[in-house]
Amino acid sequence: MAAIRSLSGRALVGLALVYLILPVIVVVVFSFQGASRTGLPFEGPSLRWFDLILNDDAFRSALSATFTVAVTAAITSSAIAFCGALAASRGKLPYPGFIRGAGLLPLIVPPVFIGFALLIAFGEFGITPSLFTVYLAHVLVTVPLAWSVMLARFSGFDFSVEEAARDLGAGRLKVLSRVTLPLTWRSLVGATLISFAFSVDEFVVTNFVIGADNTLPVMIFSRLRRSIDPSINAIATLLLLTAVLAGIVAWLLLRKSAQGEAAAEDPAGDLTDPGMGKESAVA
Amino acid sequence: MPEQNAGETIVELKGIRRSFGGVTAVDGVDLDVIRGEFLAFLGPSGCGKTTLLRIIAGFESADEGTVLVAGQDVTRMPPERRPLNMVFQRYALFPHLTVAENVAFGLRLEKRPKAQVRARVAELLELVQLSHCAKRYPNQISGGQAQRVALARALARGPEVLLLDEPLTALDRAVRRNLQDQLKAIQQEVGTTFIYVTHDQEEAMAMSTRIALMNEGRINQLAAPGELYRRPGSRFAASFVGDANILLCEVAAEAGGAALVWQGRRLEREDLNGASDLDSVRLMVRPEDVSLGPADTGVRGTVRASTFHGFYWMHELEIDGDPLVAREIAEQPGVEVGQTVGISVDARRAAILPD
Repeated sequence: MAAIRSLSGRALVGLALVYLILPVIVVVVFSFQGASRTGLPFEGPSLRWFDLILNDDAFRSALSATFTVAVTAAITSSAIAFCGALAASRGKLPYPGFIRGAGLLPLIVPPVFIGFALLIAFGEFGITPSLFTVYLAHVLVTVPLAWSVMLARFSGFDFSVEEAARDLGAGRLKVLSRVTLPLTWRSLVGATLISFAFSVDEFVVTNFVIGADNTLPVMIFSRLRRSIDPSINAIATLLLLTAVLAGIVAWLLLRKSAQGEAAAEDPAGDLTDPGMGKESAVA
Repeated sequence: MPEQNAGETIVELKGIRRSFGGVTAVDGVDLDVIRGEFLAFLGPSGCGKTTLLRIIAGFESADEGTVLVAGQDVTRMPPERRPLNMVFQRYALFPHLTVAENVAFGLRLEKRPKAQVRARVAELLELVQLSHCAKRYPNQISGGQAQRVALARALARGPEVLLLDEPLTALDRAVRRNLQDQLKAIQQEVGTTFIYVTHDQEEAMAMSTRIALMNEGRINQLAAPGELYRRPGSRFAASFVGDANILLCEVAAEAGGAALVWQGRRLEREDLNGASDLDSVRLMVRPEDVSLGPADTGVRGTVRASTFHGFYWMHELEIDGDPLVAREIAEQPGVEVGQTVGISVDARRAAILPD
């Protein structure tokens, strides 16, 4: 009985994975297509499309725009999330539940609405759409991601170590640099990478607030409107690679943080079983 | 190292008040802490003892009142500049630093020469007998060891006063006993003034030179442990510290004075502590001052239950529906459950409570 159930369960999981991954595989495979079309028969593998886009000025400026926005927005939103989640978790602010929820709010509002609202707001304030407005928009949409990562980190944080540091003579900045940051930097870098990965392929909100510039997702969309150019597969594959790499590094950091820092903060149940933290982190 | 100047006030609290959103935590505390003493803040949870300690440390601010440490007004001073250090309930060791680095934390902030820091850390680890753990991380040592590291860390800069916030509560009973002795020995060795918060009256009794018994944000009684036990100043003090029987006695006029009468029997006691003019008083009698004999030798009562506590028995008695407890130091109980006994109390060792 259990065997059948687990068998059918595995089949279902397998199907879901195929459904999720197959389109991605198609795009990745056809980015190495030698022929001038996206479709069978497959000729190659060939790097001609990668070669083409790397020598394409439009692609290169979109790439640089994408990375500039992603890096600055990721740093900004993780800094905001770090400070906000720290303040909301220390338990000294009024309405901490409201503050915690407020940081997650942009996650619930539909991106189309955010894009539209930002477009109107920027217009009202006389801010011309540019990469700067894209940066502002990306900060808005990536803060909730960084926020939730930092909230998770600080929810189990023993703030008495901050008090101990102050008690021993550390001012507020020293507490941050000697205690709080060394204990939470993995989550902070993880939050930055997740924000970065999200920003790199953000399209809906970006499309509303972008001016004359292009980011890679916007470029893909505008090229698609003309024709299904196989170079798009190559661009999409590079985007995918960037996001996946950032995601993997973030995941490794956060997993380490969940294990190492949580275990390090609980001297009670430690000597017995060093493997325990690992299991609970996986579960 | 602070000098031993007996009788000198090291911490002075004047009219400290603190409330949290309408709930009063500390309600007007005046207190002089004497240099070199081991003072316990004892009281039930919510009595304001931890808040008071945190106000001295600087982690909470007082709504009203003044905190003086070594004659200096520190009321508005941030915790990092106050000449005192704290040991936290859950150790609060820095998990990313080794034991030695934890102890060195405050010394390094002072930018002392490296050799001096090393020497001081070695000295402190020796004091708490943890030299062999210097290179370990906090997650590699036991709770009892962690709290000793926290103690060494807090003593590192030679504070005028050490504040301890229920430091043994998170530990096992056996470890706690052992650490109680060590803490007391260390306090005597270094001579630093200790202010120790606890809700455990046995712990306060065993360790401190004076106890500030707290209730509802105020200091109910400030006394040496023995005096607090023998001469509690209130019903609260009598019942919070140790087991207590509270007997309602009549005051009867006599030739040349007055005497206490309990259940129709005259109690032997010369000094009525100025209660001679009252009609009745409440008398606090410890269970060990209650003795049981044959039914005709005292007030008649019934034994309801007897429990064994290792070296003594506690007998729960009943006199016309009123409960009374008696302690009997014996291996086998002298009375049986259900038996009618004669109860007498030693009023000379009892305390008259103000109403």
